[in-house]
Amino acid sequence: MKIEECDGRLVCTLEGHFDTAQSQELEATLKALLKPTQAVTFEMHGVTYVCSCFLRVCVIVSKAAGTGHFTLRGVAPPIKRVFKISGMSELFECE
Amino acid sequence: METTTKEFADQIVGRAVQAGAVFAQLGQAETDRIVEAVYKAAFNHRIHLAKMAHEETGMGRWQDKVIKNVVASQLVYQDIKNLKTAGIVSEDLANGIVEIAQPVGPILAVIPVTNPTSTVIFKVLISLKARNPIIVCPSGKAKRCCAEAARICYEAALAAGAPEDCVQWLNDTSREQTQALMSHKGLALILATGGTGLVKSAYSSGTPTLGVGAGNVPVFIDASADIPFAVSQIFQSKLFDYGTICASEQAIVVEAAIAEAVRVEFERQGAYFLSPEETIKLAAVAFDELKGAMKPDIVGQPAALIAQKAGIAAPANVGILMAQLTGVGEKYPLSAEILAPILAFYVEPSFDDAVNRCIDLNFYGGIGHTVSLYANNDERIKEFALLMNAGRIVVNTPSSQGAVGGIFNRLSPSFTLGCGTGGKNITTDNVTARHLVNIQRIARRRDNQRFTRFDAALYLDESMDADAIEHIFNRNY
Repeated sequence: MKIEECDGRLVCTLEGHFDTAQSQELEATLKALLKPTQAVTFEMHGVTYVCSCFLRVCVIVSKAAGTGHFTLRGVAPPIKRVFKISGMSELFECE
Repeated sequence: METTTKEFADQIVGRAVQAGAVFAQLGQAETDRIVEAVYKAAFNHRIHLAKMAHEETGMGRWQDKVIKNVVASQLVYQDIKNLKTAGIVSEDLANGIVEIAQPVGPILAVIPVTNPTSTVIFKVLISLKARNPIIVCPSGKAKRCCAEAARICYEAALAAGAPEDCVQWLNDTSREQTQALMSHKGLALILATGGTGLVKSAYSSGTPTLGVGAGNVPVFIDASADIPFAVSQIFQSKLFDYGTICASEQAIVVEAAIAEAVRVEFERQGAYFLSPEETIKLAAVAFDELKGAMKPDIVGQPAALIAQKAGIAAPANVGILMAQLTGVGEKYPLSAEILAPILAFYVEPSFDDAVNRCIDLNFYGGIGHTVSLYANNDERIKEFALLMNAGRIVVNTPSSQGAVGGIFNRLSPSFTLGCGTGGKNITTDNVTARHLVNIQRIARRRDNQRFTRFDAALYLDESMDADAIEHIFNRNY
């Protein structure tokens, strides 16, 4: 996982299998870094699996960032399907 | 004296219940004779009924409606004629299971304006094949042609020995009367094909319903596809009855690498690509943003007429109007289902992006219905199919005719395409006669010897876990 700030936006480049442990680590890292209402992007190109905990992290980050300020980019089709089925693609951008 | 809504429903359903009781006495051979007679009568009136449907609804082309009537009669009959639907339909002596088919009972058939006579013929055939009486409830915009189709089927059925009132049809029913019929305790099943509101009413009635959800069919043309062939097939489907089948293509999705070749081929075969300004004009005449649905007056109309309505200077011989879009959803009205020769066109940078776009379209009003794919790479076909939520993933096939089945594949020919739970349906199948029987099972005693020989006291021993029990249970003496 790589996290950097780009023009005020927090960009998290994620890869691999996001199970509970990985998702909790991401959540803890973001809690420490995230400023109120800061925009966040998850670069998802390398993500092959997401667990329920990862979905929860997305909801938390989305709420913290505010409407329209949280984006998932480069989502692979199998992961896109997870966000569609769960209805979470309605909550934030999932490209 | 004026008939109340309840009396109206009691009379109609009461007659159907009586017809069902008599019908249940008939055997397979007698039932099959009735079905054959109805098929032949409907087939012999295919042109007359198609012309009537076209004149009354003003939608589509009568020549294509003839083909729809042929599918609904000839192909449906071929598909169901050898199906066992009466009495004992299977015997498994080894396992002691005998299956008996019983009719479900009176069926209310809701008929859409887009495919009126073909849907009547289809629903009457599959209902009678399963010895069920049927009440035809047509769209108000297609009641004359539906009544004529139902009358032709009924007279043929009666002449072949079917019980009186096995086919009834409604003429001028109010919303209240339709709802009273739907929720009548004597009614067994609703076959609901029509607008979202009507299908929802059917589901809300408390009567078991096989309904049809809306479609929004994306078509992915893979880099491995034969582009001229793919485009010709899409034309064949989208122009069929001017796009009135809910499985007709709604959006073309391609990777950037082949986008220009696809675009040129579409133009060569008669499509007109709209400018961004023309896209806005077309959306205004084709889509009702307040209702969030296509406008009824463009359904089943030729592209040239729609272009004229929108003030677009398309060639007079234009086949399909194409709008290049960059998104899916409310901001992009032409990304929704529109049953007319209009297609959205998406160019995506990679295969993954193209599949994601198809997922977006699939989930935007078309969950569980149909998706279409042109590819000559089997791995791609499987990968794509696993990611879609669709009862039918038609490959290298015009999707209208492909989803309906019987012409280009071996799907059961049907005018009721199940959309699974995503589309609020109980099945993803092409609904047909086998869905209209209750199967009873005689279960003769065949002891599970492993269970009867097992020492049941071991289940009471808390030290025995699943692995330990399974080891003993499956021991090979």
